[in-house]
Amino acid sequence: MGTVVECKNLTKKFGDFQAIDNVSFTVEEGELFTLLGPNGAGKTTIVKILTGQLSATSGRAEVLGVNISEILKSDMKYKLSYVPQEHLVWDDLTVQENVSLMGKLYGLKKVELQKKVSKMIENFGLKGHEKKRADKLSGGMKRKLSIIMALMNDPLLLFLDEPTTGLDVHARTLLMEDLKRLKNAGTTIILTTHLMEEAEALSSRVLIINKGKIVSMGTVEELIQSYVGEKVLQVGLTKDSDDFERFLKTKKKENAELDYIRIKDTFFVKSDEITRLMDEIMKIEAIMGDIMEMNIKKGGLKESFLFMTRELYDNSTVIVETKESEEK
Amino acid sequence: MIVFDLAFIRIKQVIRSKEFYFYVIGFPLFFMILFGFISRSWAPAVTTLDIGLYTADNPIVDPITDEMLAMGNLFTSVLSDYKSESGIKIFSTISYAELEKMDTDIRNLVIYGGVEIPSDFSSQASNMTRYYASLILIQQLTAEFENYPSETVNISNAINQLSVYLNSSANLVLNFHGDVTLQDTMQSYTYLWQIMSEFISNHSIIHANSIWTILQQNYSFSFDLNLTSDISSSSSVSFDVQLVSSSTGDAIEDFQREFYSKLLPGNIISTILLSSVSAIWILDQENKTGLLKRLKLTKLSSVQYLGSILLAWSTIAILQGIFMLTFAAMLGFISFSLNPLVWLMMIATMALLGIISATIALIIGSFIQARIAAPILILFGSTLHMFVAEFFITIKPIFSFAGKNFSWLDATPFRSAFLVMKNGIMLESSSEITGLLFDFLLLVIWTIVLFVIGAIIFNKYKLKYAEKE
Repeated sequence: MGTVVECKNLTKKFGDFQAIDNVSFTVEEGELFTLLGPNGAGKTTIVKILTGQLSATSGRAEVLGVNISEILKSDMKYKLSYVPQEHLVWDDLTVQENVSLMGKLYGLKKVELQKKVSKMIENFGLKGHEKKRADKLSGGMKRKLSIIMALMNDPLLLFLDEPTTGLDVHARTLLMEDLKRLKNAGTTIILTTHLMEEAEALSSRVLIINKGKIVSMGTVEELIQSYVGEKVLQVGLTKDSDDFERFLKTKKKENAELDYIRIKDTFFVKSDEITRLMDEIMKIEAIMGDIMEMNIKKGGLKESFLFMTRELYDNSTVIVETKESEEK
Repeated sequence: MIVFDLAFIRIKQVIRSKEFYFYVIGFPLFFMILFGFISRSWAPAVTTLDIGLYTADNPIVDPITDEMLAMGNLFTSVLSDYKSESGIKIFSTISYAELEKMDTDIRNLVIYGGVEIPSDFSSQASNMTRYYASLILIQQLTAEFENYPSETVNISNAINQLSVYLNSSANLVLNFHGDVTLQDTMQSYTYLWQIMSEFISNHSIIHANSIWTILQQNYSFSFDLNLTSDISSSSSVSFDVQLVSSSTGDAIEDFQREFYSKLLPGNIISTILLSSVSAIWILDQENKTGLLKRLKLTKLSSVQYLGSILLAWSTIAILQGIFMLTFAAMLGFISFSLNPLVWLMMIATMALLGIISATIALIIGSFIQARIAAPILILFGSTLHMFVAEFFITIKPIFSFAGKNFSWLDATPFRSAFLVMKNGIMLESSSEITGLLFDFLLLVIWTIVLFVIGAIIFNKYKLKYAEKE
């Protein structure tokens, strides 16, 4: 199929509030495309528009080759599925009843339905819980049930809105494994999350969004390379962070490649001479006395994201552009 | 068929809800049992408080005072005017010229008892009051011996004259007809004893005063007597209120049949109406959790969605109705041997009521959240049927059409459902079943109209809402 989703200048306003602003992107078949951004960034709004739950104020979007304003009238709606942040299950029905009902709602016949229900329940580790009512399941199991139900129509495109929200580490890890499996099976997935590890571990490409605007977009490697490079210095201070910041400002004037962001008493510094900078800091006794931790880390999506959305944390103004617009 | 699958799922959801058993089944069942059993001690006369009077009394002439004594009439006027301590009249009396007519009315519970005054009532009452009057006077005159020694001869002569009456006997009997199994009949019986005792006491004093006036004329006593009532039991005079048992069994049965024929349909309407609360809850949950929006991406159409709701709640309504009827039959409130056609029509009525109930849920649920709508519906559902069944007040008809009277109660679909079920329970023979058809047809029309309104509203305000926002 090629392009599965195509958005052009998509905008949504709720009264005076601009939920999303001129958002354009495409998603290709088989991708796990992640919408990454802080809470309230506009991720869910984009998903709701693309699943026909909300109409866009302006702009154009096509899902599975159908204009989104027509999607609910088109048979293509049967080929997309979504799992919202809330658990989308019938609480008073058992696991098996929930899954079976969703299969029936997609017109699956008895034999096929039975096979599929058993297979899905087994694949997602809910075997042995078939007769349990949904409201008696743990958060992780309930989320899995939501996902199973969303997969009953073998969707060409699956939307997952913050699927790991509210799950403990164990449940989250298991769910991420399931998502990897789905991705490897060729399902095109659009995932929203505010968790970097999730995005970094799963995504083919990431769209970073903040306050309704695209901050950046690309593969994980591209984003890291663009915003932090291979290494980043993380420094945590106990007090007198201002002295350290003054030191960094001085260094920044000397080296245009150096940049940093400050989150309270923790600094993330990127530089082409990161080892030398660390040695230099270690020689300054006045600062060293206040340093609680200092280490050089491999540049990751988390650090990239912090640099991209730095206006949330400090007053320094950063003009952010998408990779596409940079290229233009 | 997805409609049946979804309807079956909804029935499961309802059956698994604890609230369903408490509010929807338990609540109306409790009231059915409560009112059903209380009604067994009720009778229509409870509210009328009518009592019958039949007198065969023959007035007599008092041998001492030469006055005409119609004691039977005097007693009936005392009975009519008798008041409780709080000043409220206890009996409302109806006079009967024939004893049989009075008994018939007792059996039909037109009146809850009847007093029969026998032909010798005046004679016996006169003997009795004369006895007590003589006794009172002798006691008082004896006490005056010492006070008036100059008049001892006259006092002795007067006592001798009065002593003659102490040798006479009297057996005053009053018959009270009624059903001894009825509480109010027995209460009246107790009152009669009290009234009878007071009547004799008062008339003994009156009698004593009359005799004293004559004695004064004969013996010119220089003193006067302060006559007070002091009736004590005696072997020579006695009075009795005899109970003549009269069975009201058939009348009570008819009354209760009529009562249950109102109670049961009322309860069934109530229970089915209350089940719309569960519909509202389920629809509200589907809307809140986003399931309703999610369903828009499936192959389920709006018609199938609405159809599943109606099918589910009409099935639930039938189950509820059959449960209530079976329970009522087990408690003896109705007979199991209702005409099969009546059963069929009642089941169809319940199914239509279920559709109406679900439609109400769709309409209310389109505008109001479940947590607000549910208590409103519970209040509405648990009281409305009482008005529809005219438990409290009888509504005057406004107009007539096709031989049927219409009142403003007919402006609700529940009235026609009520009438089909009520008349079905009261049906005497199969041939009368056509009498139910008009109301049944009216109910069908109501159901269609309401469903169309409900579907339009729900589609506009709920399904569209789910689709867009």
